Amino acid sequence: MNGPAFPPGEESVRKTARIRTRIVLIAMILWASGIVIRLVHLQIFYHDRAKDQIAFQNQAKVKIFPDRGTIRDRRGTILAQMISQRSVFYAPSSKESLDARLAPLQKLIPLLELDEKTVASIQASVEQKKPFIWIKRKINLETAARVDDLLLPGIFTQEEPRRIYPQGSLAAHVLGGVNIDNGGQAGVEILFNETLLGKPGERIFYRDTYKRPYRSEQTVAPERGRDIDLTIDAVIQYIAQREIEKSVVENKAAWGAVIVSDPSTGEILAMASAPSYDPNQYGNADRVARMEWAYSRRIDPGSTFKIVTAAAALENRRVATYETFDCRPESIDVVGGPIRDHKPFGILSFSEIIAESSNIGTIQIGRRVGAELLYKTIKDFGFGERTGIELPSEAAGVVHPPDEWSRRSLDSISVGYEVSVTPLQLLQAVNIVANRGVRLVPRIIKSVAGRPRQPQAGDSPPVQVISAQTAEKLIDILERVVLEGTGTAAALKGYAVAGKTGTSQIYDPVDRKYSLSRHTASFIGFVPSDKPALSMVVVLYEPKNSAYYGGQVAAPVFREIALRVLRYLHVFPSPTNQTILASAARREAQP
Amino acid sequence: MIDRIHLREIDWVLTALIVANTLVGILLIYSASFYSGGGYAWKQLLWTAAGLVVFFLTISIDYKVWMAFAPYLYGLFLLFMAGLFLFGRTVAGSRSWIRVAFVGGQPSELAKVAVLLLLARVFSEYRAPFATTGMIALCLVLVGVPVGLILLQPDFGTAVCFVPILFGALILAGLTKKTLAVFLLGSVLLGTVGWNFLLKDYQKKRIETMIHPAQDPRGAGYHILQSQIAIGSGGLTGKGYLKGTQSRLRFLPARHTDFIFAVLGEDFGFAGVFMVMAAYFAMLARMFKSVGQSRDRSGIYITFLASSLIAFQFLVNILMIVGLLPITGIPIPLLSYGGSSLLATYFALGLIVNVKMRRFANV
Repeated sequence: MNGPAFPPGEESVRKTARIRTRIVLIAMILWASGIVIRLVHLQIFYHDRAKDQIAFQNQAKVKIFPDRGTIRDRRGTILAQMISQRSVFYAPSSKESLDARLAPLQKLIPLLELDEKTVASIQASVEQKKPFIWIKRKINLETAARVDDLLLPGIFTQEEPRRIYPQGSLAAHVLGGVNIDNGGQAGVEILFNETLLGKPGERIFYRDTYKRPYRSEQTVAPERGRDIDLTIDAVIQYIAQREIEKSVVENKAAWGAVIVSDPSTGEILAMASAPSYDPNQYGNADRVARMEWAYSRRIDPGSTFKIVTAAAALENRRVATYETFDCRPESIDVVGGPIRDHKPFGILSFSEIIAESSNIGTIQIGRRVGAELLYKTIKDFGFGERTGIELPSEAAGVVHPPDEWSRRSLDSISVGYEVSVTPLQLLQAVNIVANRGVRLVPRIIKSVAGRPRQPQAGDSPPVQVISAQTAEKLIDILERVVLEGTGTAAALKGYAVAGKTGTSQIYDPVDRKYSLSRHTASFIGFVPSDKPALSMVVVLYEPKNSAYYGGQVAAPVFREIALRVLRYLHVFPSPTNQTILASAARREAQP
Repeated sequence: MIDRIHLREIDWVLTALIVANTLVGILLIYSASFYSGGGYAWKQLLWTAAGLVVFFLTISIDYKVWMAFAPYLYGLFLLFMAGLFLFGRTVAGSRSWIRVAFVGGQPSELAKVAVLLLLARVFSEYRAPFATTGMIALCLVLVGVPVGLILLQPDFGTAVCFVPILFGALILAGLTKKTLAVFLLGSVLLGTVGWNFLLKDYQKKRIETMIHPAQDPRGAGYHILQSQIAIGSGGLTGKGYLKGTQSRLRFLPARHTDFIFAVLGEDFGFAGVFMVMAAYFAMLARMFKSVGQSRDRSGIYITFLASSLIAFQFLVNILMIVGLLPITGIPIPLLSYGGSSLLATYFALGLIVNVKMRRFANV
């Protein structure tokens, strides 16, 4: 029996059914083809847009801050580093009632010790339906773990390392500080922000239709920032910082700055400004405390600048060291008012003029040098332009060219007025003398990512600014300053110290004249003078005690710092140097 | 009840295709719901077991007997609906769910098969070359009463599923050109009147948003847009099983029921959609092929109407998912989650196999 038996005469019904079934099938296939065409459109041509739309509606990209590079001193002591911390954020559901959305916060208030102000601002953000709200940033890992354990809906914690400065305020003005996002705000942190920062990573939060993140995935790994080694020596920095801070307090000065360097390389060993601040709290630090006086503040140098005048005279053979000048008059006539000495002198030799810091003598020397040569020497010593140290917002100072000078200017500039300089520029100048005439750019970066600093295009090469003979002559004079001149307070038993004191009146922009009561006291010098291990500039701005001369307030700071640093550097006193021993003994015998 | 010769004539190929498609459905249901819980895949597996029992129960009883039962089933359904209006509980905005022995059942699903059997019975002795006006009127009444009750619930999606049953019967019976013209005119008229007086606002909105889904992406156009994004983002080969974000992140509505195809499109891409469609079409083709192998008129009608019913739901659902038809609740038989839908489908499929295995006379 093949095929089903149909009642006779009804076979045509089945035939009709087959035909009609076929028609229906064809219609269905056409229908399905339409669907396939639509699918091709959706899944192939619309594919990229669909993916974008999905990304738009269910992904939130969050930047992962990389670990900032570590900053170390020249011996590897860590000055700035990252530590692990976590931040708490809230991604509230958009579809729940306000009360339900605020509920998770209540449990966090005691745990995170949120103050009322913070809570109010968070609640405002919740009411505004912000999708991402910081609750508290940078909390320790234990607290973060307790937050996670609460399993509050929408509350998440995220790794967010904090920048810490384990040495506290040590070298604060060199390091600078960072903001809450670990971005550099000042000092090396801002100038080398790109280097230290590394490359940020990216994390994608997948959100469901209620905008709740349910999973996150690190799509781009953060790249750690590069480390920086400074030329700073933490021990020397500590000594210098402690002494300048002490001196600022003792002398009731507005501020003080000290920079210690190795003159043979130009490397800065310590750089401190007082008052100081704690870079761990950069945002909260006092504005005055954050000032980088050592390299961004201009001062009238006063007598320390006489080194430049003397260098110009000697280098250009306008005077001989033994030559004498009449310094008996009480004052010297200068256009715009006479200039006096701090005490009456007699007939002084060239050396004695510098050692005793006679204005009358120095002005006579300056007149012999003349405007052009003096200006050239000033520029050669690096004044009026930035030294090029690797620090932000360095001041260039002001030195006007001779064609802008008044008839008083030559005399003024000879004794360190009508020019403005930074403490760092004074250090650079004294380093030229210490370095036997060679000018080196002061450096604060020893290496980046372990690679020693490479010479760069903008670097000025070492220049022989004055001859070695001139420098030697100047050193002899500067030794006399400390031995028997204005700088005896800087003398160190057993060391030959070369230096120069400076005391300048502060120009009052309101009265448009130099104040009679406000002074800047300074001292620049190096030791030992025959083979300098360190050079230093000390500036005290507006000391308010009766003693305000550089020799009285700045020179002792030099001595205190130098004494300790020399020992630390294993530079020991030389017992053979009898003159110095005798001189120091004599000074110590005095009350 | 069942002879060994019948057992030998069971269309095992079709049965295997049915089971295979059901299993594909369970895999997709798992992907659609594993993240949010609910154990739908496991439940569907249990329903499948129950469905197979229904299937074999269906084929073990001669389809003539089932056809004889049709009026009672039909009457029972009308009673159910009446009871629903008295004691119905509202689920998802319509009253189609009732609690029967702790199992949510949807009598409307069964009503489709009851109506199909009833129409087959009506036409089993009908020998005219064309459907007469009286016959057409009878069909309209038989289909119209339950459809009217279902529309009152309101469940537009289920009501639409009766269209292929009605038209399938009339196509088989044969329509004159005049009747066809009347039907076309009638549909246009009904469309106009329906749009203005019968359709509810939310239904009109769905039709509008189908045409312009981007106008209101967060509102009425949301489901259409999310479904298209899901399918589109699957691309050629998909994101991988269980990797689709649209369903897991709950952007897709009714993802384990009406939108199961969007889950397929997202997880397996065009390739996966094509393969599943091919498997489904293989099943449909085999179903339609057995129409012409039936022993008698009633067999032809049962097979044709049941096949049309399943094919219609499949094609209409996909058309909605890809954004070419307004969204209305029509699940895909076998693939979508749903107990009563699965049981009713297995009942209908059982009838098809039933007719085919009894195609030889006098045995």
